Amino acid sequence: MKITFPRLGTVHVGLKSVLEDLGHEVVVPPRITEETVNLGAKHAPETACFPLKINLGSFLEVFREHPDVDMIVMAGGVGPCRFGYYFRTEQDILTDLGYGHVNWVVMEPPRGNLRQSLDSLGALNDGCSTWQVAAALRLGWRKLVAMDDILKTVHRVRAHETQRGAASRIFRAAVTQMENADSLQEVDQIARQTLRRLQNICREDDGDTVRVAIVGEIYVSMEPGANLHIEEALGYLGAEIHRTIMVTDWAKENILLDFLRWDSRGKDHKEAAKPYLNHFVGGEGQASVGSTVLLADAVDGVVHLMPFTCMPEIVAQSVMPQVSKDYDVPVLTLVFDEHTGRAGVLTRLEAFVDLLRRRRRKKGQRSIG
Amino acid sequence: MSAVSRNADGVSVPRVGFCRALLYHIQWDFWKEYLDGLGAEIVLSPPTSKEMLSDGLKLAVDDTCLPVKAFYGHAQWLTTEAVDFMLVPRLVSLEKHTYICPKFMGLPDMIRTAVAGPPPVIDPKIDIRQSALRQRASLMNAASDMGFSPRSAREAIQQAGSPYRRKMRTMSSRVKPALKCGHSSSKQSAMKMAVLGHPYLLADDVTSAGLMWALADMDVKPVTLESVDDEILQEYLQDLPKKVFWSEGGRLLAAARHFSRRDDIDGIIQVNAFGCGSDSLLGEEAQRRVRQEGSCPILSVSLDEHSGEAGLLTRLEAFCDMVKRKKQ
Repeated sequence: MKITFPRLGTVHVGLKSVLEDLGHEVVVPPRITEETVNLGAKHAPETACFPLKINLGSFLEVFREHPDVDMIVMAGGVGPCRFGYYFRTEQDILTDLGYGHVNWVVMEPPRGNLRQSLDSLGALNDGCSTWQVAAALRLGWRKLVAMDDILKTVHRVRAHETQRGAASRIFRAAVTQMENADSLQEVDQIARQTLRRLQNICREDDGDTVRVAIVGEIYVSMEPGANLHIEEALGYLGAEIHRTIMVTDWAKENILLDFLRWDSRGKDHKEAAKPYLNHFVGGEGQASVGSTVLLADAVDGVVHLMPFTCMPEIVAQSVMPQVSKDYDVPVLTLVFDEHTGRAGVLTRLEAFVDLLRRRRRKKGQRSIG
Repeated sequence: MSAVSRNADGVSVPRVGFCRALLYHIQWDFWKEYLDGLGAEIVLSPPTSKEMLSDGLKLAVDDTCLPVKAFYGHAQWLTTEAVDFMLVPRLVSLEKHTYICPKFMGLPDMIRTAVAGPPPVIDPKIDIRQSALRQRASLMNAASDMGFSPRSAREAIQQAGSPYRRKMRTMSSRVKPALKCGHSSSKQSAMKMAVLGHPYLLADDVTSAGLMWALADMDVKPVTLESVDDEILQEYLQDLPKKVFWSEGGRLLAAARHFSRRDDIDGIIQVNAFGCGSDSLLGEEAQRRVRQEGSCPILSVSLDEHSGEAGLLTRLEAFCDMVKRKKQ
């Protein structure tokens, strides 16, 4: 089997490793670019949400280079967010475009149907022993955890790097190294080395750093190609980033431990959201609100990211003004789709960071005075 | 703050506001019986007007769909009516294992944030995924929040029927016939067209830009999914590769397949609100399946606050002319 899967942040580092260890040939989709987006937007339903369009474009790019790919692995869902229905729509469109031969292995959350989940896992295992499968999963998972650690550090140091782009270069190198790592020891070693290198490119904190939390929909938060590399842009503006959801958090909640109804970030953010949004609304809607409440004191401002027409985040966006007012924390909501221009987003980010910096200085003066 | 109204015994009863939008079109009869059972004075907002819609547009987030924006307008209207409470039920699911749109799930919170100085928003939850007991508790709590005694709450719930037991699509007795039989036309209708859209869109003359009336003027008899038996829809739904987890969107998809196979239907008109999440995917799937079924013509119309009536009319006329020619 020659397998591909949707590209999302650093997911491919772990997933490629697992699938290859199970004896499959894997094609990692190329990085998400404007071309990916345009290709997807051309074939997807007009008002489908942005991640679907990117997903579709990404698959089409894979098929253009590798027409012999015959399996797609992706996650499913049981609503109410549209994400759970992506694969059905994508399957129909790809079939119309002549890729009807592809097998789809969809990881439905076990809460939907445990039997189905196990079956789909079984479809991926071609004669490996349980021990081998466990080892493959363990290595893949360790890679994801390591990449999350590295990324969190990148989010912090980018604001202080002495040479612009240094942190991004180190991060990209780590991705490549991590993809090829064969053992747990090697993964740990790469992680240690990378973290050390990242520490070395910083200059001292001049006290003028603003801290920005990134909350919002999973895909546009985690995939730089979908949010016009907003994390890089914020870093260059001198803002440290605290992103509330990382790849491993999402995987834990949605795929691995869903059936235990276990929430890796605790119930805190749900409780915190309650006065403003007293019900689950699918996707990350309630978490976006809750995280904003919880982080209001720890950060200078919050950037809320969402795809155009995203249902859960529209609900979150609707109640955000009240949170912002009550906790005195500026919130900037940015909506992304194929028409979003980089210059426009950059201008808004610059203005936002300026505002945060001014507020911070004022606060500083007040506390000294 | 309120103009106190009194019931027959001279006891003051709270004035409870209800918006004539969104879920009103899905289950008004249930809420009417509930409120009547409690003995509340009901203040129902009038049918959507252009002014209410433009109020809604100012209050709602830009990217929400037109019917939600209209709902904001209705809520705003109620704040001027000196009501003691505003009843905005939180609709989570109407069928087992399904949801309806997330915006219905967050609606009470959205209204609380956006509408300035509203009367307290009371948000009983309708979630068929939960047990009958919890449904009941939610309705009891809502009644007590509005200051009604547990006794009258129990009676009201009995009268309205437990949402768990009864079908929750209890449309307004005014809405249903209108959607079921189409709008009256003076002449014998020459064509019969299936009009597929959420009832809260089709039954509202402002948000639907008068589409149903326009069809009647063109001698077209509109048929909606309300005229189709539930069993038939369920049958089509069972036949899908993945269970659709939006109950309302799924019914529209099933209805599209059903109508495309019916000989007496000359064409299908899909009406959706711009930005509707479930329709964006299921509408596309419906079109694909209708095309696969054969030759039933299908037109897809997307409505938002910028839809001009003239543009819509032109498209409808062109479509009807095409269908007529095909028929001859």
